[in-house]
Amino acid sequence: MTAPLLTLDNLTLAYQTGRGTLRALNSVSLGVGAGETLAVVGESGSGKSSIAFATMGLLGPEAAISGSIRFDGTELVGLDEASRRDLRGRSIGMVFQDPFTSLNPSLRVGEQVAEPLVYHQGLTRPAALERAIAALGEVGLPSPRELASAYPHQLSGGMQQRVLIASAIVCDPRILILDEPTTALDVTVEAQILDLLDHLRRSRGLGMLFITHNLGVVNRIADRVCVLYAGQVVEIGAKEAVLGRSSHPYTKGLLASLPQLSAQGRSQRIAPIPGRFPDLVDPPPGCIFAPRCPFAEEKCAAPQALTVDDTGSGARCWKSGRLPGWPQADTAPRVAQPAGAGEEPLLRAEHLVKRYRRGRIGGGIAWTRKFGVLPWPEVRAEIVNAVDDISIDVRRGETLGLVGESGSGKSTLGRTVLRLIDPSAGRLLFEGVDVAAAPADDLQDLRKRAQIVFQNPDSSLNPRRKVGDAIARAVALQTNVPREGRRAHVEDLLDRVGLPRSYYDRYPHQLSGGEKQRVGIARALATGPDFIVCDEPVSALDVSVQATVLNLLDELRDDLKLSYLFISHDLSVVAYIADRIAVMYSGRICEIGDAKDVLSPPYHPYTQALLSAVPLATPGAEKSERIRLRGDRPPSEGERSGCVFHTRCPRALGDICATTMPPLQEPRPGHRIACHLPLDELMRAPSALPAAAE
Amino acid sequence: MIGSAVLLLLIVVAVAAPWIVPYRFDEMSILNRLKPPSLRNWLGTDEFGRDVFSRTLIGARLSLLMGFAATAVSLAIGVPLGLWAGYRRGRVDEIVMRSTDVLLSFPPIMLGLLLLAVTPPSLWKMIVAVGIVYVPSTVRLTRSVTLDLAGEEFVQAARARGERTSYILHAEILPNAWPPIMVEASLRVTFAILLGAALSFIGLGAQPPSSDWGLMIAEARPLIDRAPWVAIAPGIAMGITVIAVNLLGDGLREALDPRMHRKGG
Repeated sequence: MTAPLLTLDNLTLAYQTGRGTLRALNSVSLGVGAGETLAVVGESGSGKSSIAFATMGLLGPEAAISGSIRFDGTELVGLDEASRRDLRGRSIGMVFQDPFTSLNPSLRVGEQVAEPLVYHQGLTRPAALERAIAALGEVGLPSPRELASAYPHQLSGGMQQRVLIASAIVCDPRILILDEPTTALDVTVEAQILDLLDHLRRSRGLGMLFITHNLGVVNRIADRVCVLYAGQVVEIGAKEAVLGRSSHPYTKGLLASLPQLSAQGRSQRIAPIPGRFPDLVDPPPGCIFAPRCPFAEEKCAAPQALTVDDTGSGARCWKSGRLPGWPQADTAPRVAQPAGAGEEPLLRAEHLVKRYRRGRIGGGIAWTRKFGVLPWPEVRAEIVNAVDDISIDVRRGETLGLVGESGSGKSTLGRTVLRLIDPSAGRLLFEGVDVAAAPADDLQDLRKRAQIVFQNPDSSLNPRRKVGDAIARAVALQTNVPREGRRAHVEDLLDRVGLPRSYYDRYPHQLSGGEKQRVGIARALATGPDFIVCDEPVSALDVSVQATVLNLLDELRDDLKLSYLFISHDLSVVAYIADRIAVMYSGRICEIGDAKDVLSPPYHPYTQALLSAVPLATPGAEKSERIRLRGDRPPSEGERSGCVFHTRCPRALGDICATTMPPLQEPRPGHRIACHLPLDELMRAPSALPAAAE
Repeated sequence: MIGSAVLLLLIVVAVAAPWIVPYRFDEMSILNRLKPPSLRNWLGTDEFGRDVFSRTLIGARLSLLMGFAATAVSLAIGVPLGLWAGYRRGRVDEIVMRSTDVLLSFPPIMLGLLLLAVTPPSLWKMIVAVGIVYVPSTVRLTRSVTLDLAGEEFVQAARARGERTSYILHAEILPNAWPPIMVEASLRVTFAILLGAALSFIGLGAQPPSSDWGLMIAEARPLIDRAPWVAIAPGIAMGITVIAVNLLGDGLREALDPRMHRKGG
């Protein structure tokens, strides 16, 4: 192993709070060599971003740092601000999570990329701009010269992230620190960015410190992995060792919490990590993970040491190497829902349409003549086709998964079927009754029997209302439980979603994200619904919490005979929970069918690309063929003829895709693909699932 | 919480003024005109020999009433309109907002004048007039807070379980909209006191011989070089009130922020 470029040695980061000292990082040691990618992986609160900020010297004065950060022989802890500024950007580049806020909206892209060259290397502006344009080309942006004079808002998210990467590498740094660089991006765009980063590392010999919560991304990009939990490194080593033969219980638990795409993985419930994240002001005295660890013994009450062998691998656990696999979930195995194909569906949408008018000055102003003479400006309105002629059924007792990327219209569809948004056209049958155009007063039956669970646990509960009161209100409004029985009824609901009854009197801010999401579910159950729209219910949660909420939803469906429309951008989550899957792109459904049919050939080319882009956490489970989509999200404005996917489709046939609506092909009953390609051509696609997960 | 303490003291003084003042506010004494502050008249006397200290204390009644009542009027009209416009959007929103734009296009004092000049002045008309002057800013603030809150998922959840619009507005949105509205309203009180004083100053508010800080300053204006104390006393009283109410506003902002309670869990 070559001497690392960047070394963290016993780095400890503490904050003083009203209750005592909060240790955000506790004796963290790691190293990144040239041309090597070290992934730092952890859940929220693990301190992973603090590592990036400490290294860049971006922490506030209230942070007390001890230990050492060395870059190429220079000690960074306690370095004066001027020397730091010299290193920042020049020798160490950084890419932040959110491309939408990391670029200055009022500066042209080229200027922003050129800025560090002027500052650090004293280049003249024209020379710096030339170098910037070269960098924009290097990160794979088309026609970089024209692009340099664009403003950030004119670019898509993926392009903005490429611009950020360009500005991080333009001064030829030797180390790149990336803080969740792909988290805000769609999965097909994420795949492109990961390819780009891998290419840059190889061509420039860059060392990368890659911070992420996503184990699949780690597996795609990393050479070595460092697992962080509550500010401590719990496991470190080569990717194959950490992800393939993990030796710390926490790593095992994280991997077990991931929903699996394979048929075998989908047949059993995922095994979550029990318990709550420790309080960093008052951490457990011994092993920090012991309270949640299924293997904990008496000896775990002593603090654990991280023992690293000569290959650089090790775990902070005295039992490491002698542990069995993570225990299976103690709940019953999943029951496959009988496909009630014959009976009437609970909910049926027929040719549902939702269009918005969006007036945009940027779209131009049309001058017309009023009364024949008076010049009259009219803003050209664009029509946004959020939901464009969609027909779906949700059968009794089934989960219909709806997967799509941002801007695909999946949330609009979810709210339209609940009449939270009024459809522009089409029919919406709930138990055979058309509610698409019913006046608001006639919707009480739908309001009682159809509910919604939201994505954002912070926004879905009224902050000024006790948890129990929020649920009780729904009980009072839609059921005939008498007043005196309501509290008991709400407590039963809290039991049902696995929360203590004492939570009745708590306010939302006293709950963790996962607990708030359980309250959201209890509130949805309070009206006694048959149908629940789950709008990205686990997207804001950490992996281990996500697993418990998914299991809860799954059990509730079986126990209460519910039907779900489960909306998510995450294909693995949808594949795990759904009986049938609908794939949505730019307002239309391009493929729908039983989960196992959608996940295996024949595929719609978009489904194939999505599956191919999902990063998997199993080392060695390489996909047979990687498909990368060009470009970014499609326009959903204006009149659209032809297939909405044709602009990015790697298998497009030519003009016919752009001009003619694709026919619906039905390879098996109930499995429909909207594509011009003949079925046997689609059939020839290789399976995009990992070849048998060993 | 210095602000609330001072303000509380002011309110107590204002309420109790008739019983604690050394002289009646309209008690004249021709022999005792324009006397500087002394042990007999702590803050001196005005051109009719009336005790400035007594008049200032009594004046607190009118000025504070003016400030709080006018703010209450602006809230009573502005908050429902703002909630309605922000929640319903579309045409309702346009009509409400363009109407407030019309009101906003008048300078406050002109609008107050317009509302008062046509009929003989009275205290209650002045309170309503000053209240109406501050309706547009209340509407705008309430509307923008409501716009944000209407997109929150707990409001969507209330719609999904079939709540009426009126319930959503008063039970889901209003409690969360109150903190910024209250903070803004507390600042509004001081503007209302000042505008009321200004209207009294130009003769459209409180009428002589009643005692109002604005009116007192107006009456003292011609004598300012000979007897500055007559104008200074109500001026300082007004200053203290404005500062106290502003401090209270800052305190409210902190106290009403739910994030400040997080530790209490």
